[in-house]
Amino acid sequence: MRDQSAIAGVGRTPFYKNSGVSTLELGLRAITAALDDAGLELGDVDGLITHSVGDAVPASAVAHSLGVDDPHVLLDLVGGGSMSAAAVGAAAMAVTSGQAETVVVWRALNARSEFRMGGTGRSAPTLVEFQYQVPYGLLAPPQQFALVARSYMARSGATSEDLGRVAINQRSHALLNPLAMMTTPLTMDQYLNSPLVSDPLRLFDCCLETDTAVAVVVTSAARAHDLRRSPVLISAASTGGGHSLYSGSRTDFSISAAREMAPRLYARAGISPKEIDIAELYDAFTPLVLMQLEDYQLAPRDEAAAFVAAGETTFGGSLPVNTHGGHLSEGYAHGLNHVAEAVLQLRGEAGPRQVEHARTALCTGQPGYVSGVTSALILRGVR
Amino acid sequence: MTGSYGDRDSASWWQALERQQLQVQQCTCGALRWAPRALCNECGSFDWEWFKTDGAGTVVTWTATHRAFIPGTVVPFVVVLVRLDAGENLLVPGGWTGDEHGSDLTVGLQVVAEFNSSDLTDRDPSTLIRWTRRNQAN
Repeated sequence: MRDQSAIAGVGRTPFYKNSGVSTLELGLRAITAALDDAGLELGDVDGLITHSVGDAVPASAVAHSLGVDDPHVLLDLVGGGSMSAAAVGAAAMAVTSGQAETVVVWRALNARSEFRMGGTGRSAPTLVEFQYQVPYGLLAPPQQFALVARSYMARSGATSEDLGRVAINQRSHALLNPLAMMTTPLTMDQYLNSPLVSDPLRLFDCCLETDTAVAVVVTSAARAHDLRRSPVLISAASTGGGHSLYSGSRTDFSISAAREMAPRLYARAGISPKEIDIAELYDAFTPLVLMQLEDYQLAPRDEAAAFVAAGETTFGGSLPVNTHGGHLSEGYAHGLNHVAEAVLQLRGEAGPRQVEHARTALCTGQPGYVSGVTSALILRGVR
Repeated sequence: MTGSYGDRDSASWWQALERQQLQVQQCTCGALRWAPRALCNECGSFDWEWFKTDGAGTVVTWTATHRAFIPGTVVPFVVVLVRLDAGENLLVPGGWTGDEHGSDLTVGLQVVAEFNSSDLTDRDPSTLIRWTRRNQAN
């Protein structure tokens, strides 16, 4: 499957605090923008794949609204950030196997105005495990990931300041991104004085909550070469395990499921971790960046914080990370905005934040702590 | 009162909490498991029975929540994830009898389950686990 399929177009809406429209409209706007970007038309679409957590309209409604009455591939994946890369991977499989020729993958969510993951007042998600947690008041992602953060910090020695440097680094990237929600610098004093949300996580350890949609168009690599944009090849996609109360074997919260999955991902792409030029790492919370740097073998175990402190993860460093600002400072599209950023970087269209040598990108999904699933992509530019 | 909280896998586990028993499942192969479900992921057997633990364990991790995600919740409050002494793979969440900021918690602290029952009819489930330092409980 390596390099047999490609992302031929990307489209998105702005990030909003209140989009004022439905998730159906958000999805339609992002998908049509992605088709425009690719130089394709609505009539070309024969596959539709999305993912959600009960917070968006299903793929069939979007298909019919687009006028795709006979979709060859139609998938609704259950999951938030854990499934963003898996959704793109499913499109690559559909195209490579000949099930479909032009697959749109999108995530549409009103995660600020309608369904706040970390918000107040909404009922708990229907995950079967939540029955054991919600009675104790444990239901919001910052609480779940605070449990993870403490385990990682206890093992690695990472401090609050180390988490703060992740947030500050990504804020500095967002300042170069006209789409980013956050537009002012973040200082260590501001970070350390921000309120605790769920100890050890503070406000600025937590991602933004936004209304938005992001879509990509996946087609065969051969066809993508003849389309409007420089293709971005899907070198590898991988899904892996995760932590859950039903796991018999994965009970160490200081490492993520990515540690086990990453060798499979790199082998599929035929590369080593050293060949990754940029990494768009799922960053619902700052510690996930440090943990994934280690678990994807981009930094030595327990040394991710030093790697960040040395400037390696910003522009001019050896591995720019979350070049758009990430979920912490650009906005929140459950991982697909990371894919969109990688596409821009690999096409050489990232403007003032362009990483000149960017040819190979790692895009990751949530590392599997809440959903028990993780996924990731390796993308390659041919500009 | 006998609660009806949980699902078809877990209802009897919750009811055991009301009797102040922290149970896990034991497969015919000997493997213990929690949370409740039908199949042993060690050997593939559907045959099991309840195993009564002594409620003892060690702290894996915890968080003190400072934002009221559920309106009206008194913050801060602590949730602790405990690994039961009975098995490496048995991780059970619960409340905390100590400091509401968790300042008296450390990874590896030895704890034991206490059972906190409520007569409130609108509370579901009626009995919850509250972890407490083991030397205080024994």
